Amino acid sequence: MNNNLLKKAGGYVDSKFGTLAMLPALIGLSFVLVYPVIVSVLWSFTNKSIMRRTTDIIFLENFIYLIRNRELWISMRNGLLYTTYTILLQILWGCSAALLLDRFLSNSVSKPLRLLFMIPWTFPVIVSVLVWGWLYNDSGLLSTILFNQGFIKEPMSFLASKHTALLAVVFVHAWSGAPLIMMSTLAGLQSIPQDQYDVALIEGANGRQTLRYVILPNIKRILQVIVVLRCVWIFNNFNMIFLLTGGGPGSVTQNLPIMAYKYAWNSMEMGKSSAVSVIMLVFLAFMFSIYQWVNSKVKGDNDAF
Amino acid sequence: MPSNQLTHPKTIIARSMQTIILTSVSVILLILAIFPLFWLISTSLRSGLDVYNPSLFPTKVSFESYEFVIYHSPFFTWFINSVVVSLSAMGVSVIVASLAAYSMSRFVTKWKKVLSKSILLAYMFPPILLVLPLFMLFVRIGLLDKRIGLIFAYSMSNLPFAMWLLAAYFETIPKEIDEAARIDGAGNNYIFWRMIIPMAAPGLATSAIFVFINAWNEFVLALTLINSDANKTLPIGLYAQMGGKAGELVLWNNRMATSALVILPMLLLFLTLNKYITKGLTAGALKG
Repeated sequence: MNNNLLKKAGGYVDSKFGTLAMLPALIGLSFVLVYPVIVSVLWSFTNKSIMRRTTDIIFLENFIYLIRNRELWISMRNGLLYTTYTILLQILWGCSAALLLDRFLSNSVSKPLRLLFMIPWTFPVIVSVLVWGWLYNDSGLLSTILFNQGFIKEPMSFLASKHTALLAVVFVHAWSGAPLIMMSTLAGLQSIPQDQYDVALIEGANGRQTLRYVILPNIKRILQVIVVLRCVWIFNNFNMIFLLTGGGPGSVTQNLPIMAYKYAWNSMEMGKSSAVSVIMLVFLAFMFSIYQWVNSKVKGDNDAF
Repeated sequence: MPSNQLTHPKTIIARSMQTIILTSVSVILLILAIFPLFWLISTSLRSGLDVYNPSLFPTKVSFESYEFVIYHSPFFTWFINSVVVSLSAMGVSVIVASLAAYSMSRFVTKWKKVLSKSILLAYMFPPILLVLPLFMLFVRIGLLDKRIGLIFAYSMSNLPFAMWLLAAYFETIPKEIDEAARIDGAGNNYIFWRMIIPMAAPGLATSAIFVFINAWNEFVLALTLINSDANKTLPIGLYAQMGGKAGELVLWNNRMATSALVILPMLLLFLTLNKYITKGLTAGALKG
């Protein structure tokens, strides 16, 4: 290692050891953060494709093509709908489970129940997809029961129907994500001092008032952070949708990541795919600034971030 | 009088209503949480037409599908690949991240905020954006369809999360400990490897578990970076089987048996390491 370089780094990092310790991570992060961003931005201005011999710079043509194409707006709308439904269901599901465990059940019941509630979290995406795909299948349990009870006229596949596909995927995503929200909310609930509840009891607060004035203010910060981070991850979700429906039927479950993937791997248009990626980066930047804003209001909660 | 209030008929009705509502919510949440696992196992133990029977339990328990998965599919090749890739990614990621996180909490003087913010940004980064650039890079440097390439991709893409967790953990270890050791003449290497690392063991365990789980579950990078059957990990192996051939009958009992075998290690891991996992979840590991 060049000693001069290390000394220069000394302005930012306190010692040679500190610099060397940081180095592998910086190299790694440049591969998984800096490099993909640079490549995506550069390619988004070209007509790069495996099908063409040469790559030309076409400036904003990809973006203009995408903006004029209905597909982008449909994917964006699907993504926003998908994110809204999923986050709402996840929060409702996770928070009610956490409240139940913390407030209403005795320790002997809530401890084993907490473990059981966590089970969906242990499912790898591919297994969630296989199980739910089987439950949703036209010869699967849900369809068979509904058919036998006479609720539907013929067996149906919930992932192949235009009307149910999006909600069916949302439900699986909420099911797999709710346990983590439950755990984080539970941590917040457990940190509420007992005397706050005692005061509420003495003041004669009913259940709703206790929720409004004792519980919510205490878990508000945790919920804000969860909601922002979750929204980003759900909006960026690829695996769950791709494996359950592949974006179909038609394009009712197609979001931006699926669109970017299809451009790159189905029609081999790397340039257009990168342009979709850049649009996703803009969304990320927007959400990141919201996160910073939320976090700046949360003083001293997590100082370094 | 409080006792009068408690025995008042209206209060009794309200209380029993509350009990009914709470019990039914608990039961619904419980069924939603465990039914898919139950149904997976139930289906995997069926054979023939019994698979399509909407009864809770198999009419006759059969291990036919497990025999098929174990003897007639590349399950164990994929299983071993998954173990090798996930364990290696876990090792590399935790070592690199702990070094960096320690350096961040002790040595970085300027730009500490920028650094921690870019880690968070990387944590929020859409994984699909890595796929195409990494694929093209791997084509160029010959890492395509190699497990070592996947290990590299997994250990690096898990760095932001591991650094995030560990940086917060190192902040909780008092800096006075380092300073006291330095006065006694200990070098940085000694302080880090012999003193800080043992003290940070619970944090390291948590981040190791999470990196392992992320790598075990990862799908889209494996899908694009690995082609040959011999190098596939479990998720993409299962995905390849999912495709099937047109008109071919889907054998759901075999699929469920494979799923049961994939999920078994996760359940065991969760039950034995539950304590660390809970700690990690509450420390901000919200990903999923």
